[in-house]
Amino acid sequence: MKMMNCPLNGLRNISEFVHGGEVKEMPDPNSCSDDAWAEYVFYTENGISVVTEWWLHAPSGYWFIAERHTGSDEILKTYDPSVLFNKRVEFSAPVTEGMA
Amino acid sequence: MSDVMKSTITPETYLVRSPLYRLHKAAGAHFDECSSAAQVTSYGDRSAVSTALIDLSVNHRFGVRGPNALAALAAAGLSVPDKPNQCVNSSNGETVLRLSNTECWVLGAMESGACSADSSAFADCYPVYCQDSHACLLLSGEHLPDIMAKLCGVDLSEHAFPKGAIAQTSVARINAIISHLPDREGTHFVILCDSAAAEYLWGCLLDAMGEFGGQAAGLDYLF
Amino acid sequence: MPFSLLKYGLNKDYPFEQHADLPKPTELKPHYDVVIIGGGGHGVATAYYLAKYHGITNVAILEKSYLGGGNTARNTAVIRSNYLTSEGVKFYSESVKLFKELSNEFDFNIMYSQRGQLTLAHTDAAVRGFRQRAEVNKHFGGKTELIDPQQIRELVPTLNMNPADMPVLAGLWHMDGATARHDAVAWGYAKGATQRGVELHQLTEVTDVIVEQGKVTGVKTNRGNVSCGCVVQAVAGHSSLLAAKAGFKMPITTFPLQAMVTQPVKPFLDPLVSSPSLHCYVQQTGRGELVFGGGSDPYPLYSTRSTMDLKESLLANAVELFPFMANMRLMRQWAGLTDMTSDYSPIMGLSPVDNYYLDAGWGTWGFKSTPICGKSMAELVASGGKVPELIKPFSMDRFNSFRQVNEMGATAASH
Ligand SMILES: Cc1cc2nc3c(=O)[nH]c(=O)nc-3n(C[C@H](O)[C@H](O)[C@H](O)COP(=O)(O)OP(=O)(O)OC[C@H]3O[C@@H](n4cnc5c(N)ncnc54)[C@H](O)[C@@H]3O)c2cc1C
Repeated sequence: MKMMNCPLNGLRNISEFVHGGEVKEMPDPNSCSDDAWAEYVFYTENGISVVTEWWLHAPSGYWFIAERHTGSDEILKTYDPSVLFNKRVEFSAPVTEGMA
Repeated sequence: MSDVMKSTITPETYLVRSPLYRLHKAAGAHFDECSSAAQVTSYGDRSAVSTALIDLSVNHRFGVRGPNALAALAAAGLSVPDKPNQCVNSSNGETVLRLSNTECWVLGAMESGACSADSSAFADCYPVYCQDSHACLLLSGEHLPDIMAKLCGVDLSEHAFPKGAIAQTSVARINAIISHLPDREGTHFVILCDSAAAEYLWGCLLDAMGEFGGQAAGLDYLF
Repeated sequence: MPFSLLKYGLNKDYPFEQHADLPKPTELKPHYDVVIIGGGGHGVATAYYLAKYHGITNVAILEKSYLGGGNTARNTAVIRSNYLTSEGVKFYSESVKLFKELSNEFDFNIMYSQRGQLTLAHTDAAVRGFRQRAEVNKHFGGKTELIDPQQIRELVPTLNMNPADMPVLAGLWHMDGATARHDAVAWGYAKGATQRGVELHQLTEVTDVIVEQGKVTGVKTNRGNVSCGCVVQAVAGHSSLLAAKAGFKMPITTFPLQAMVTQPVKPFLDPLVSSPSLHCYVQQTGRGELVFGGGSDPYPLYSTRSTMDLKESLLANAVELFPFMANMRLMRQWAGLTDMTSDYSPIMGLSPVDNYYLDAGWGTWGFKSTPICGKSMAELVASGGKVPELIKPFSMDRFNSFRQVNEMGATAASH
């Protein structure tokens, strides 16, 4: 079976992992346009190249980042998300009038 | 055990029950009270059994996660492993499993089944309620790596998976956390799995143990 | 030896050429009114209807490989209309109607075979979903009903009613379910289109799209550039790659999808049988082989190499449905690249580039739509970009207005 190196758990069968999509920069949901949000949620590069993607190691519930070639399926690198994300993202809902 | 005892201690007497309690009852297991629940004490005479599968699901456990988790547990007097995927025993008999950089689960002492605290005691951590979400099984005795090799792709033999090691992986195609208990004579693997899949995994483990003479047992097997 | 055979044997010209279904290849012209990228079923059907109904014949179909060699050749040929949304059911029902007439229309046997499709429910939630689908289908004139285990046993006596310990609770019986020979569909359309003057250029790959001031004006190919009035992109798994050449992104991810076929056996299975819970569907072809397929590979990839793990689970589940399949030999296994949208509905209509029309997002379910999609795309092109009512709900910008057409439940593992 194909294997992947989990930064937390080491080399494991690919069946232990779940693909989570391309790593993209999230626009501010409170201020961005509908188009920008749709672009973030639905639209993908989906090219033949090395892509930076989210992956989940399901048995440990651990999300990490992998660089993989979508043509050859070669996994070049895997690393902890703290390499790219080192601040907590706060989701503060905008105050809506009339809400108690 | 007298008939009177047998008829009074049943899993239904308690609110806390193992997801496997019906199965134990149907198999004629004997129960005794342990941490406010009915714990299986024996499955009949299994003293000669080489490998035993014991359900510890009613024992207490809790988890904490977040950047403060490790320090908070240490401040509460628990021993915390240095690295993820390791477990250590604390002086009070509890076992601390470090599952990631910032998450630990604490298993109650095996004999009493009790924990000295729970998630709510750690205000600046995220609580992880693993008591009801997970079942906790103990595999004890001989041939454990060989038995597990039938169900699991990770090498759990002594050199690759020594005492104190944890493997979070797939066992019989479901997710599980396997901990090789430290400081205890003999080989003991604690297996935590989704409680909804407990009955399935129980059956798979018994099936895998069969060729090695393994059987289901109760706490009596250990103490 | 018959004299004629000897004559042909010694002749340099192969006599068959005169009666060939497709004309010989020609040079590319410098300009076409319409360029269709992709010579799969969808591309050739669009060309056929353009020529037949709209008299538009200055059309080139550019196919990088050979006619119908993409997903058109790889699919398992399930034709059905028992979808979930009213938009979907309306659209696919039109396709089923056209399919029934295709052999006559082409004067070419596409081996349309209506044998009904049976989808199995193993959970209460699935039963509820089936009830809804049956009602929506009936509302739009389809023949679909919920049936009980006894009726299922009568339809498919060989079925294991407790596969993988998941008892069959009910079935969605779709009497319109059918199959057709997929190659014949592509060839029938191609023949009809080329006879009317359309050019089919195989081994002609579009390497770039020329866009000037927001409008497509031509394409570059490995055989030179051509200018054109408009472009229809119908390249299935390669949709995002072509769109990137035209300068925009699509809400599509490309996944491999596998299928397999066994050795032939005596006929025993009339309906198409599918189990969404087991991610598996099985059918017997006219030749007696069992064709079976399932869900997509678990992560995006542009490779048809196919993973062992998926083969393993597909086989395991097929054997659960029909245990005696364990004794059969597997003959072939293959995969195609499917262009998946997040709502499991296709994308047809306009794109951000003027005169550049999209026929994409067909994922694992687009063979059945070949006729109606071709017909609708032809209408779109002929009207100069007026989107036909039938395909309006499937525009790409539904994602920008968050009006997805959710067919996920009706698509999974039934195709
Ligand atoms: C295993 C499998 C099973 C399936 N089962 C079913 C089923 O049972 N029922 C169903 O309805 N659907 C099914 N499908 C889906 C169905 O096959 C497709 O949706 C459908 O065939 C799409 O047709 P198409 O003409 O758009 O694409 P294709 O037939 O793939 O044609 C696209 C063509 O574009 C060409 N192309 C790509 N890039 C370029 C370029 N740059 N220049 C020129 N040409 C290019 C390709 O070579 C290809 O021939 C299945 C798919 C697979 C893979």
